[in-house]
Amino acid sequence: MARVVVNPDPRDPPRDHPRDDTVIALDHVHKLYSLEPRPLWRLWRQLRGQHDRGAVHHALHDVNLQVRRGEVVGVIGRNGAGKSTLLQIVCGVLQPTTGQRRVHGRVAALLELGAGFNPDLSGRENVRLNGPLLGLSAQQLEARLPEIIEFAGIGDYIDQPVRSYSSGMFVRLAFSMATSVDPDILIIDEALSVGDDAFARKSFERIMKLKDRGATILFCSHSLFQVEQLCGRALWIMDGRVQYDGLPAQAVVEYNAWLARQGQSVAALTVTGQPVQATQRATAAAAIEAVSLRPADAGGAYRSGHDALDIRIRLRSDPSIACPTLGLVLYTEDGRTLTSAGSWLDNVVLPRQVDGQIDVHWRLPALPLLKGRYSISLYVMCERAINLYAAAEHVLAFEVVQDNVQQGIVALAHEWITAPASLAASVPAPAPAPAA
Amino acid sequence: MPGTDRPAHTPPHWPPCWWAHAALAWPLAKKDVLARYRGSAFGLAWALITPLAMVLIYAVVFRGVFNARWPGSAPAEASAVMDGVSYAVRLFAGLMVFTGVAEVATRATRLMADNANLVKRVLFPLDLLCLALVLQTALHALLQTAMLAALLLLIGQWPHGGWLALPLVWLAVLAWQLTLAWWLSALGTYLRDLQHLVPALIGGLLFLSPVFYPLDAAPPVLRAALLFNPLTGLIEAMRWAWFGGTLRWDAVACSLLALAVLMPAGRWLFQRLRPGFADLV
Repeated sequence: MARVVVNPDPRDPPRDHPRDDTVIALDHVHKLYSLEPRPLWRLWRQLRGQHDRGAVHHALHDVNLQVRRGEVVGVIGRNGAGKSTLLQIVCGVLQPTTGQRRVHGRVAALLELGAGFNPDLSGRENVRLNGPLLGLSAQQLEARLPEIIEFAGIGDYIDQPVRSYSSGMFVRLAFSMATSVDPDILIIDEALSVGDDAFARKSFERIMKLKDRGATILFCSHSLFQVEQLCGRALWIMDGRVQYDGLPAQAVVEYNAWLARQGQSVAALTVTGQPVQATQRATAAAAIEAVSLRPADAGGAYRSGHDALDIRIRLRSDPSIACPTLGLVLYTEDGRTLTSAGSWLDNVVLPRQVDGQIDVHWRLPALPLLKGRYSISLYVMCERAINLYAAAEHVLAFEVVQDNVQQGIVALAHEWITAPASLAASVPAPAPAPAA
Repeated sequence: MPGTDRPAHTPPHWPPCWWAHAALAWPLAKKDVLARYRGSAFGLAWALITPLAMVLIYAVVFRGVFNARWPGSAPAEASAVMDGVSYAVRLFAGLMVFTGVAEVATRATRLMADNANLVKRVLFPLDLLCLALVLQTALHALLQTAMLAALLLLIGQWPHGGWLALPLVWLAVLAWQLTLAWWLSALGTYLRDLQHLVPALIGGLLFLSPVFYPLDAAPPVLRAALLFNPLTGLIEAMRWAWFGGTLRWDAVACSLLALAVLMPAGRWLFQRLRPGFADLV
């Protein structure tokens, strides 16, 4: 039955007016999951509309969200915080238990790629039959079919049953189809890197193209780095509540601070999702071939404030793609990020030879670290520093010794001002300033 | 008025009226039908082989063993073979209605569970699943209708005016199927028991519907019970359209009356329970 929503209060500002820029509006959205184990009771409650009786799980709690056209919003938070529920509600897959949801425009949801695919049918048939579900007419679909197939890059396999596809081919076709509809709103759940690395790059470029065209993007990611790099706005969801809504950098700071208060190692959670250990991965786009520390002068350990830390890195990259960037993260022994450096942040272009080999040194002169053990991770990324090509986590470890008892982990440049004359000059005198 | 209750999430450019809605269900039904016969050697022929085999078995058992006979179906002097065939085609007409309804009812109870991906992960107007299910059986019905017509022509029964009523009868059958699909898919998602209960009921209902015998041949006690079975009116009307004779208007009226009440109620129930589907499959 059609439910016409009439704004009962004329004083209420017309936020959801179509001419308004707001494309996604959630208004006091709650989502409750019934934990009722008895089916008949559950049925009865649904029929009566009593959603909050009995045992319930509060997945979302009074969420208010307004997203304007063209915004790129990242959603961060721990597993089970309600991120996916939020995205599903915005998509319309889940209905809010109470509250209003208004979405203007064509939504493409990359929640589960290829969900409507039937394994017995060929790729082409699946695209044809699922197109209407995405809102494409038969003519539009036929016109876009070659492009969809071309983008998925699966060649003649398009006429084979989908069950014979590798998981990569399946995802590629599904992604290609889902994004071919020119969505106004794109909703992505951890799907930025689909398929192999070459396709991940392609898919990412397509998402960026949609973004440039003014599509609104809402995506959730565990990679805080990605959120900071990509989004103009970030939401931190905790226990079903919007804990922070604002600039990504600030959201990441707040979230990290909260994680630290919870006693969880920030680095271990955000970078690898695993405890500190050496891991390495590479793709066809790039690989880290060799990493070495220049041997410390004092037999194994570096002398704080004296020795230089000198890392020699050799990378190999696919010469046909844009020159990659290199990121480097320095960790304390307990896995906390101490500092990081990125070639793109420092506007350094890596020196690449014709065959794709890159040799680069990274130096910390007069090592400012204090005594302790440290480790280093390397990340090779695309030219925009978003797509990860290769990683070598905690690949280097070294120890720092010091010849004094200064406490802490880092020696910051500092001064003691002791001479009375300079003290007097540095403190503004209450008396009127002398004539120039 | 199915056009007015588009799901809230349906993008504005989506088909605004019911026939366009149905146009969306069609690819879905086609997909299921294609997938069902893909990889089998006989393909769509199974849609005819299975019912034909059933008709053959039932006809042999009921005509040959129990000596069941359709009053006025064949002249007394007809050969035994012709007699058997004329029993079989009448049986086929009734069985067509019954199997279609039975299939929809059985599959509806696990419709949402079978399409969990669509329920949980995709923007999808779920009532289309019910419509697609009915469309699939409609396709089978069309094939079987064509085959029955061919059979009748083969044994020398020429088309008559009653055949013009066939589309109307089928429309009523499909409306009943859709009603059952709404009821059972919505309830079946909450009550898994229906997945076991409905097939059992269907098995019994086959003998409590006038498939193997005409309503008039049933003993009076059974006849009263048969009138309450909505399938009775549909099956009687179907046989009437094919073979003429007197139409039991009381049975037809009972069936249509029940439909008029249960169809909107099923629609309401489905819409009411739908928000909970995603949490349950």
